[in-house]
Amino acid sequence: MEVEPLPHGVTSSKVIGLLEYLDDHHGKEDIYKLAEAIHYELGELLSVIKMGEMLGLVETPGGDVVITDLGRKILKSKVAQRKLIIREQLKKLMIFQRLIEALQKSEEGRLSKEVILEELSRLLPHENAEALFKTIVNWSRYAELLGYNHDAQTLYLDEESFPAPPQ
Amino acid sequence: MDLLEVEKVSKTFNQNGVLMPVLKEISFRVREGEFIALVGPSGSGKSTLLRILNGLIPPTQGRVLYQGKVLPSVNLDSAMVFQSFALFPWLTVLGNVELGLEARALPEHERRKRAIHFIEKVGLDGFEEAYPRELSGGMKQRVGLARALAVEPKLLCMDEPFSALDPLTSLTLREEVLMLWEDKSMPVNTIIMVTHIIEEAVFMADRVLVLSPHPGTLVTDIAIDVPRPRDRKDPVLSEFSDRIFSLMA
Repeated sequence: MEVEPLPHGVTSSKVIGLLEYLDDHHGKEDIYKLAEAIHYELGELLSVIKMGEMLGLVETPGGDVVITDLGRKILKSKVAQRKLIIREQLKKLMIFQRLIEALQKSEEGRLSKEVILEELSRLLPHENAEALFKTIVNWSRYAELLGYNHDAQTLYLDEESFPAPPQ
Repeated sequence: MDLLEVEKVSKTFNQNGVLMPVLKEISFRVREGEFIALVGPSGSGKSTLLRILNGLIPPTQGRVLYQGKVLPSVNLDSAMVFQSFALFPWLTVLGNVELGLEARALPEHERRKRAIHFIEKVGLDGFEEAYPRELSGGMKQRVGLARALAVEPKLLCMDEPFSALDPLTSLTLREEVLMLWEDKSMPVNTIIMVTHIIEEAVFMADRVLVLSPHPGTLVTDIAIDVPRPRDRKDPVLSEFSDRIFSLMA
């Protein structure tokens, strides 16, 4: 499986907002109509849809966007449960698998931002590594998969997802 | 007993010697557990009214009673969520939420515990050490919510809380605020929200108070007697919206 970048600037609130909208419209909407209805630039909307698709929450047959069963499950879930579902979905993405592997191989499960940016540039040479890093941090924090300390500029494995082994 | 009684409240601002009437003889009552929306065009003084309701500014005439007593100054049983988030950029998410508790004379470990609890309640766990500049608008407003909820207010005042957010994010946040309001484990059960978006008011509130501008006057007080959970596409809600819109136009 190849490493795919995450669409820039898409947040969990936007993806869940998309699911809310679809749920109000019998689970399905034409992409152009949707962009018009919510006053979104088409490109921006396509990024949100792409992220939703990568997480298995929507599908895009023809020119439509359709909510999946997992997407409906998210809407019925409480805030904490939503994070768990997203965490499991993020873990399936190659980009997170590569970063988790790198962090697990590191001392103390943490790496500097600089090292991560180099790794991202190697994996996805055509991407803006800085923007991608920001998006990765945002999703990782939301799902409590990886943490990032801005003062120390380090990315680390979140204890919620990677509990320390008993001493 | 009503939680809040607003009696003939008027407010006049003095702008360089010119008296500007902003609110005129507003009266209404709020029962405990209600979700009230204040709607009106710009110039209807709805944000000023909200600040009078929680004691941030005094009325020029009239009075506000909270649990039967006149509000002498800021109501410490209430908290405010602002449109502009009003976060301190040099503090982390945890620091911003804890700061709201500093005025409450709680021991440090209790502050930390409570801040973490409410950070989790709004779905911000994982962002504790993030700074506001690292956050999206939706996450910034969740910090504003967590900070307000952490003081365990009986009354939550929200001033256009979703207006600075993009349309998809505001859809998500509206639902989350309703989930928090319906969550029986939350101390807050009465909400007053200012908004200029009629559909938002009708979808979320039990009662919509409509203000007209120059000066702000209470035009009508409409009970949205539609059971929850509500469907945004419910034609009954659209009828309410149309009615309110025609009153404002």
